[in-house]
Amino acid sequence: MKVLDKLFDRFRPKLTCRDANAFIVEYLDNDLDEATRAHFRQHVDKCPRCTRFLDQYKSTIEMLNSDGRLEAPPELIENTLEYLRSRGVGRS
Amino acid sequence: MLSAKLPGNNPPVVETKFLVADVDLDKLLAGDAGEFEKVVVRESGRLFSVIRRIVREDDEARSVMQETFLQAWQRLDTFRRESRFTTWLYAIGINLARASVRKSSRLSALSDTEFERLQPAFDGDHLVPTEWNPARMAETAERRRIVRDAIDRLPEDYRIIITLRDIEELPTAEAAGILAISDGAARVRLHRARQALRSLLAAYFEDSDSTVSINEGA
Repeated sequence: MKVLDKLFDRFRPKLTCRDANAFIVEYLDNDLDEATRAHFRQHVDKCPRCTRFLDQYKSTIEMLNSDGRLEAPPELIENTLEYLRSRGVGRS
Repeated sequence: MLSAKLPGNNPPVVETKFLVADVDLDKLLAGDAGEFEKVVVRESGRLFSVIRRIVREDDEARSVMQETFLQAWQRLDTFRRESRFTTWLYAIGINLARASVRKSSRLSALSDTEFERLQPAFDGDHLVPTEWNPARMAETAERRRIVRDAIDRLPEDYRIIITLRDIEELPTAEAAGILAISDGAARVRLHRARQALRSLLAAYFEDSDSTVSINEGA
């Protein structure tokens, strides 16, 4: 089976930058099958443009995660509970 | 009807007896106000953040969020356990927030053409490199403002998927469920949004004049 896999791999068309770009989300979510993941890595490792792009892409996600969150006003929960009670939530 | 539908290629997510560690779904759906208040306490912060991203005003976001909880309470009998309760709740909130924006239409995001210009360029099948240097970022407070402004400039669909997936860190499948789109469509939307944000942030942090300024047309 492994021999067959290797043979299949040898004749499998190489990924282009465009192909690799389309796999980025699934790659980062660990949703690619093993063979596709290996092909994605092969392309990115040999392509400085895609290596750089992937780094930038990951940095963007990190920035969104660290700086994108909006803080809720401190009294939000209390105000919401008061609003709901005033509209009959909880009254039988 | 505001209930969220899961994409057809996903098995339904059946909620167990407990919604979260301390919320009993059976009691909640039977109209137990105490259980409902636990949901309000647990979800208010995140739901506010998602709605605020859509309506882009604090007061309006608060008002829409409160209306979301009220509608959820009044429509508990329409929840069919085909999705997570939170998926259903967020779908209500997003629908109400979108309706609020349509009513006011006070804020404009990037046009389709502007958004397309922020996607990476390919020469044939080869990626065209662009300068981008996050090391040159501004101070934390300034950076936070820049990142938030960039998110606010995205068209609504892209702003929502980024908020659900990258900021609130919901799994892609749950974000897809809330938006009633397939997992594949959610991934494509997320990818395009991230790529646009990458370009918007690059434009701000660099001297390059070949990219769109983050403040342009805001």
